[in-house]
Amino acid sequence: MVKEDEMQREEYLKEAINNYSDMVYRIALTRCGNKENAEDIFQEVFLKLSEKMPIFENKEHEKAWFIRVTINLTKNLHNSAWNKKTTALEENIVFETKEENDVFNTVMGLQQNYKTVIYLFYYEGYKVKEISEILKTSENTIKTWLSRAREELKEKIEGGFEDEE
Amino acid sequence: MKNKDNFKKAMDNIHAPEDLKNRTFQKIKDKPKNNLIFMKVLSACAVFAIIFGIGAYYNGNPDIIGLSNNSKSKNVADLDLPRFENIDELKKVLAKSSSGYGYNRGLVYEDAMFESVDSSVNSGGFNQSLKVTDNAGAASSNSNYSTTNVQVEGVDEADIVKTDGEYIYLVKSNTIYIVKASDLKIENKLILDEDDDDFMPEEIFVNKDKLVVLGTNYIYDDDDEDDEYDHDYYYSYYRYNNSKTVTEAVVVDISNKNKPKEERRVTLDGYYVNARMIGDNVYFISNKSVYYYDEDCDDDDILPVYKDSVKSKDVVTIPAEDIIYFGGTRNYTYMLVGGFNVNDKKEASVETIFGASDTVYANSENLYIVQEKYTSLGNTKSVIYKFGLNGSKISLKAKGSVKGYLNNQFSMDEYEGNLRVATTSDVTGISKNQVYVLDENLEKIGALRNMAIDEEIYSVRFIGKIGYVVTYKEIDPLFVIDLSDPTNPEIKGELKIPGYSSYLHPYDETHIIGIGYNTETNNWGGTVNKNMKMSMFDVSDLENPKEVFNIDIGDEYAYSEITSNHKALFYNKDKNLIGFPVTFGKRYYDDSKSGFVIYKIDLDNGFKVYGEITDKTDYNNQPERVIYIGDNLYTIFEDEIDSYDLETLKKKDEVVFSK
Repeated sequence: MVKEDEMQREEYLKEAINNYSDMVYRIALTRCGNKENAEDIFQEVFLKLSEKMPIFENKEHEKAWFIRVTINLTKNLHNSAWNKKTTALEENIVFETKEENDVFNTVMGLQQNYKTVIYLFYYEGYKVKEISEILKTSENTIKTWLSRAREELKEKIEGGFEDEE
Repeated sequence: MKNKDNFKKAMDNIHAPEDLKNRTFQKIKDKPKNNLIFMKVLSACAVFAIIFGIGAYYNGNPDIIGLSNNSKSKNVADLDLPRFENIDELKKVLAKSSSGYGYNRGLVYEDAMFESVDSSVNSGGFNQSLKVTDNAGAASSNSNYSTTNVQVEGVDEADIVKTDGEYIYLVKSNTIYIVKASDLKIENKLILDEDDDDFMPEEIFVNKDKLVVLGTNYIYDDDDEDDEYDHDYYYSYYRYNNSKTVTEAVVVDISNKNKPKEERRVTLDGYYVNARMIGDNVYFISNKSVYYYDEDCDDDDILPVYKDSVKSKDVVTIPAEDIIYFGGTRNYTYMLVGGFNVNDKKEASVETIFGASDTVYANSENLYIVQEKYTSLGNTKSVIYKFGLNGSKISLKAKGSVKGYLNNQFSMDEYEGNLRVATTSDVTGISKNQVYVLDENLEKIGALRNMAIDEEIYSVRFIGKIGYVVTYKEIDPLFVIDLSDPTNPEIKGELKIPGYSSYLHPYDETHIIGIGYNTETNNWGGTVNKNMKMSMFDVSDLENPKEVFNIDIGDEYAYSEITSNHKALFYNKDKNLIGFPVTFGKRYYDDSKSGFVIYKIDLDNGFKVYGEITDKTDYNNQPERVIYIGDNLYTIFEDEIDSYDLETLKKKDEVVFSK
């Protein structure tokens, strides 16, 4: 990809926003717990893309980059004073059914690492090994997060996230 | 409807708002020069210039600019090491780091003063006298059992599996299994929780009768122990938020396998990063994020802690005055480095630096820790900290920096006192690669620049005077770099073949094995992986490196941990065998097969499949390591170990760990 070419650059960025905006936003929202910060993180992720214009081997590599950058950018957020000015999520996201609402809010109540692996495993369909590579964390740790997250979900919502079909 | 399906449906209903997408596109569509983030950084620079300006001009050394003059000395040993003056200075720096940066918040940025002077300035060495003892050569390659594939002989690297030739030790979830190799009997299981905490082992070392377990622990601050168990509280975000994540090195006496005895626990604040063991000395590193709210925060909330059980039962707070601080860094993280001897009771040596660690390399004398930083111009630079290792004592000897980022630990190597570093940098969207030679004070003495423009480094191996660098975009050039004159490194030879190697393993004096992928161009002009492959390179003629033979492994869905983790390599020099874990088959489908492949290396006839044990279909039972002990081969999966005759590959035994 010739990056000097303004048109190509714009095309690429447009395409990237179209392809990854929902995923980036979902991860940011899951981790921030409010729209205000999620939107800031969202912008920061794409700013970083435009700054670095990384070269990706393939789509998977590209996708992993977006996941990792989004997660990294949210890491320090919950310590910041920003959070004080935000509205609770329940006030502005309403789902179609009570079940969806309940399960979403239960997942949102988990701690950061747990809800992140739940999202990547159950929504994005990644395997433990892949999550460990994306998050640069040992597989062992991912497995533990996942199983503890499942345990917690089982405690909090009937049926939990059991895998049995 | 299942909960997880409802979760999916809920998630499906969440979309990035259109106006957010539009606003974002408007912001980023222009080159970084004109966009908002750059303006923000520029104004930030101006502020920093005012604050730091005077110091910078007088000091003349932009790398040691701080909010105050940091050249005070605490004691003789720490002469010249800049540290925080007091907690107030630390708070000021944290406040600066966390305010006014909008989108840049949270990243480790550097103030622009650094870069405007020189993108690769060095602060040089510190005037410490430190005797260096050579204790290399501990591990012998002639042992009749596997040792972890490490970068530097004699410098052990922690891993999830270790053997001492009689027992196999492995980490599985929160448990360490001790398995007798001869009959695969589970001799013991260790869970190293203390009281109410949750110790999670990450990696281990085995040192004769001592097992050293490195792991993460979560210490909860539950003040009312007598309270009834409160479920909501127990799982609450509040409780988690008030917990402390620490890294622990636990020494366990395993002379009696039936009665392992915990001897010692050294605790460093923060997440586990990496570890090395040289002789009886263990060095380990953690990163601790600082949680700063405002100036009224408790000192205890922002200062890191450590503990050594030989000294005290409770954690000790590290005072600001003990934290090394070089100034000019906007940062949220402390890097803690601990060193101790597994056989004595001398208190661990702990050093704390205001900064984070990313990549770690050690030889028998020095430990190098690299921190990646984003500079204000959107570039990356690597700050290198050099610690001298003297027994269990660690001390910072020098700090330097180079342009670009490192691929992994193999991008660094020390030879005759000089550190060679290979990096990739990307300033304008066009990546460049370079190899630097830094002297013992981390001052740059030689550089090879602008190598493989528009490509990225995929693997590096320095072997004595020669460096081998694989860069990649569409094809794989293997560069042979002559470093015999450290002030003038030069490219001697170059080999272009399709694909890339992501791991390089020295085979003999004139041959290197590369493991990676074949690639092909797809319909859209992009390159995609075609299959895994392993190549043998002949580098006897430095000017004409040749690929003498190679072997394809699986298809585009083949995956092996070896491509990202050198510790997954199986290597038996005596029998000329090389192998690694693999997974074949399509992702998202359940028809994948996994296990291990082992090849016989024959310089005349190429790689021959020696054994393919790839019959596992359970995605939750991934292959991890394959090792040998004497005449036996052991394949280690997440949930089981199988043993085979190394000669005939006939299965002998198995043990399955209960889930």
